[in-house]
Amino acid sequence: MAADGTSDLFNNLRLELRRGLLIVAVLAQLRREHYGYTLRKDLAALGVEMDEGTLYPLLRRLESQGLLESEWREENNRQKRFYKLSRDGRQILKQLLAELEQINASLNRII
Amino acid sequence: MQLLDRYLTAIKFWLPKGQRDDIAAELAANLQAGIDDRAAELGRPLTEPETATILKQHGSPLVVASRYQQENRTVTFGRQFISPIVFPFYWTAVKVTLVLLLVSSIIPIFLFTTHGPPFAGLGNALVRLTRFSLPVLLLVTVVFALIDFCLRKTHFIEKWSGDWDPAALPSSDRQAGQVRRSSSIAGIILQSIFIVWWWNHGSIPYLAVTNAGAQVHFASILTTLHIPILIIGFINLAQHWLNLVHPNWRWLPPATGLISSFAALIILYPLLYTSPLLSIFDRNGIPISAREAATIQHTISLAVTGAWFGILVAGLIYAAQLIRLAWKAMPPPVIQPRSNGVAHS
Repeated sequence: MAADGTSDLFNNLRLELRRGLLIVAVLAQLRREHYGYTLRKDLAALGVEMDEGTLYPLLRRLESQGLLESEWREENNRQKRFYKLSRDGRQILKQLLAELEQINASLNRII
Repeated sequence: MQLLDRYLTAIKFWLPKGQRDDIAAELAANLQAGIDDRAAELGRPLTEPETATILKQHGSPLVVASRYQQENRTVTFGRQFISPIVFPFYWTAVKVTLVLLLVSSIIPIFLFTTHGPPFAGLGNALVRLTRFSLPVLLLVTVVFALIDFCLRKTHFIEKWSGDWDPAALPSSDRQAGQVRRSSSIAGIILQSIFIVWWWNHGSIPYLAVTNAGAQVHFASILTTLHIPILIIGFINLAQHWLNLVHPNWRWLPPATGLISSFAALIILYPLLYTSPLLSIFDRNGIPISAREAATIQHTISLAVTGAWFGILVAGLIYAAQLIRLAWKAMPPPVIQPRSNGVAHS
């Protein structure tokens, strides 16, 4: 029972830690245009495993926040929605990366 | 492909209406890309069980759609305590509660105002409504937060999603014929209004139906009908909630309708032989004239008889619908190849 509680707590903390970092990873990867499936594959190949159920709704949310722009286009005889970073998105990503670098440096000093 | 269509149709049912087609098209493109990729790896098209494995990994339709509800936060109240999976049900309950509060505050003004224009009491009613709504909405929120807490604590959704089988998804045609969400929500609202009205009915000794103060006294038999009719109301309410969660249970509305009709026929049968069903008094408590009373009783008797036969016809229609659904659900007969006329001995 206590082990279950600890593992639940760890999972919650891990999710919280990953949540923000995954957004940075998605924004960074979308400096180049992707559609949902290839984005997930490319992120996985780079070591960032992301559940489809998390990634696809996240893309729509980031687009509604103006950080991404999308376009429906045909590729290999199939209509796909391609996403890329918007101008606002580039600006925000730049700020987020600077913030991340600062947190990383501070954490390295603490740890 | 067919399984993917069935899966997407099931997801669409739970998606926010305005974005339903767009989200489904995007999901279709991504899932199809995954299926094509896997087929290219294997060097052959995927079998249905292999496609089902990919869809199962993607998640059950309700869970997948709930993730888009989370991203589509036009409503934020309650989301702090209630997870996205339970939230659509909570939000339906909030809307039903608000409609009930509104109706129960406004209608009595028009029914019971005996002096002056009914609009005079409207302001007070709206103030009362605002004051009363907050604790009631708080109660609804607490109840759903508790349900959500229990579901999370017992990992019910994870277990349910783990057992979910994409192969069990009904065909797109059958899903197209499923009970519509708007129909279930409308049913919940109307049935709740009826239950609230009927619940209060037992505590009302008479009704002032005109501004002149005429009173209507009901026959004592009507008070004995109070609980049975309330039970029928709750059965119908449960049916609408169940169909909201399980829209594919198309047999449930006619089955509930048949049970309710049958019960109503038995419950209302004594009314056919009861007279008078109600007595009317003027503002001074004096019964109206015998001639007027006889006319009203005759009209009411006709109405009760008509209602009883109407329920009988409704019951027969529900029975026919059930038979039709059962007939459609039966497997097609196996046609034996005809013999070539040579007798076998």
